Amino acid sequence: MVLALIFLMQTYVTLVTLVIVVYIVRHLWFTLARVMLKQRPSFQDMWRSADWPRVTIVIPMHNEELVAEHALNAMLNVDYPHERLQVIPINDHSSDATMHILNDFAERHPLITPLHRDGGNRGKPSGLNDALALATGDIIVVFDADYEPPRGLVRMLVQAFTDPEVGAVMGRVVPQNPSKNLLTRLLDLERSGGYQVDQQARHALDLIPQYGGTVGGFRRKVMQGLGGFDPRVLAEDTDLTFRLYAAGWKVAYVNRAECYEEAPEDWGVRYRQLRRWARGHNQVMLRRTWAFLSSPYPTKLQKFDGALLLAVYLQPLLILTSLVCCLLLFMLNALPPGLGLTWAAGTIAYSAVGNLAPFYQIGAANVLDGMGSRLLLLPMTIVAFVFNMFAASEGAWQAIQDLVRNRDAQWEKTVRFKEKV
Amino acid sequence: MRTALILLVFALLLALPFLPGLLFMRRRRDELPLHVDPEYSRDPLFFGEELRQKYQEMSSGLAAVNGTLTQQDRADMSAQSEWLTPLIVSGTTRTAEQVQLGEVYLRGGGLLGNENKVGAIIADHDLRAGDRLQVSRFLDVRGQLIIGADSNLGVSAASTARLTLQPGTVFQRLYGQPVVVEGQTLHLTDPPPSVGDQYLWARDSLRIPKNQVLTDGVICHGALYIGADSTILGDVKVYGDLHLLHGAHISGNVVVRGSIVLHGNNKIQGHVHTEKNLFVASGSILGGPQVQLSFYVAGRTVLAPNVMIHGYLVADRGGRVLQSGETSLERELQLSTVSEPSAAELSNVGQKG
Repeated sequence: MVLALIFLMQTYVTLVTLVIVVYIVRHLWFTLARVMLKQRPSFQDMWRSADWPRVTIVIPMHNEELVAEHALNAMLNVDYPHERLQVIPINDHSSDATMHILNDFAERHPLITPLHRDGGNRGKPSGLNDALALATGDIIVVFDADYEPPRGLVRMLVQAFTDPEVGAVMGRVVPQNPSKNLLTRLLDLERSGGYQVDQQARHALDLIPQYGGTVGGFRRKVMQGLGGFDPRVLAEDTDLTFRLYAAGWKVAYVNRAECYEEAPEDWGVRYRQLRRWARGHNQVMLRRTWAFLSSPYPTKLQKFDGALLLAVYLQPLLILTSLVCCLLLFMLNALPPGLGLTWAAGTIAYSAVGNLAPFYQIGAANVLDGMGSRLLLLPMTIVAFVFNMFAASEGAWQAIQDLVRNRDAQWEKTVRFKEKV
Repeated sequence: MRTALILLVFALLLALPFLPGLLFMRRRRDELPLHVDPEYSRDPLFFGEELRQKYQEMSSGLAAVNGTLTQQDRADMSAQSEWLTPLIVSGTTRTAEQVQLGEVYLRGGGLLGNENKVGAIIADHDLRAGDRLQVSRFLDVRGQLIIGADSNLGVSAASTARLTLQPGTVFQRLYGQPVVVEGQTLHLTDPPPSVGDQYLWARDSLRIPKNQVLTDGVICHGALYIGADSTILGDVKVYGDLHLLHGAHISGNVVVRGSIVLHGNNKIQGHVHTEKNLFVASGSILGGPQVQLSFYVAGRTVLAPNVMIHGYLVADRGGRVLQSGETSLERELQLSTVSEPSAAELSNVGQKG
């Protein structure tokens, strides 16, 4: 019995180590492609003076009185033709002054059409579905409430829909508060690696750039054709990405469409945010993998990359459980020579934050951004690795329980840190 | 004691990799986020706007002047003269041959002689340049801009009215309403038809026979050949090269991973984005008088004479206008080897909503 258990644990650790190696190779490929290969141009260099499609900007808000005015002022400042623009801030069951702020703006600016939700499910997917019914735009652009887009950003994003195959577009997210504390520094590193290298490489290699749910947009008719967002899924962005690819659409990534976000400054807030991401992402993996892999539209390479992307938030749980197995095998003196070392080297190489970007990917991204001095912070990512392993593992475990118990997840709002206008 | 020492050394070695990062944070260097310009807005007239603003600040004393700022009512420059300090001319400007200019603001119009060299010119009225003009930065004209043969237009040449090019000119960005490569003038009179929502979908190359009218767009995972005088009333996405044979017409947007070759007398009435090259043969019209479009070319751009472009052309790896009678385009593309597609070839196609 004990021998069988030891054999099972040895096999499990070996398999997890192999999976980690596959991810390391994948991200090394991304990094080399980003640094050494010619980049496929995106659509930011295009320009037009007329024939802009009608655009609806949607901003989901739940108790966002701290940031609502910042966000709406930024939307009013965009250089997209205002006669072709509609802004729908969604007041989603707010109990603070969000409703009054939205109504005040709507009175002064006719292009703002607030949507007040006090019934039905709370959460971003449900709010977006209600906004879709109200939207008049051909293109829906989504921003979270803590985002303040630069003037030209909406135009840059919308240009991507010149391509008839593009169903959604994604811009780049840049933390506005990197120097606040260690956590924001680590999140800044993660964002660099995740966008400047990971997303850009996936765009350049024609793989699966991911629609990220904010600083991005999609075609309204396509989304309505897909039946809208699934309110039971927490990661509606990942869900949309894979539904689009399964239906023959693509996601375009525009690296130069940069927008500031407020990174969480508190470890507790970050823990809950990451747990929600991991739970939602794994929900999508459990629901969409078969439809994606059996679709005739993605190429074999896209399916391979997509499968790895779907499983990316399962890795922390695999690493955590295999770490426990490694320790047990070590105590039983049954850890095969080399396996423990390979596991440790693999996880260290792979260790990073959020999007699970290895250190070389983060390093390359910061050099490309002209932020080379931030490489000094790279060893710190081990802190985030340990932290994220627990947060994402809990999220993955919750997703498995959601499936087994057929239960719906509750939406958790990310706390804001910005001071009120 | 020995154990404590070993533990201390171990702890120090463990902490060593984190020290640079801790010091980095403690010294509070590099505190600002990655710069994102909140006011950035893409504009083909950006260079001119910036220089105009700079000149306004210089003339009102708000900005420092590199050298002496000179303001003249009019300027007449003799052959082989040079003026490299900032200059504002409120009346008309005329230059003879081989004049060298730095940054110049022509509030009136201007007439430049042959073989002039300029850094940057902004003009509030029409500007006409002779042959072999060499621009190291840009031209920005709020009126007509006429360029002589064999010129180099630097980073950008923009005109709020007609921009006329002659054979042999090289460029990177062109903006005009329209841009015309000198020769026979062509006018587009028919309005663009509405674009359909359906697409023909081909896994491999597709050859559309001549004289066809497709009411759907086309998504083609190989090369796409559109037969002579055929029309596609929709958007086109091509993973290989796109060839529009003589007289072929696309009414929607065109996104191509390969090169685009317009064989002659073609029309494209949508935005164009290509990851490789763009070759435009004579008689072709891109865009329309009512629709200012965007043409982005990641590779090279070659324009034959008698071509009209309505909008903004960005040629990332440069572009040039063919010399009169030059046949290198035909040789380079081996146009004669492209055969006309037959009617039977439109069979390997699926439908996608």
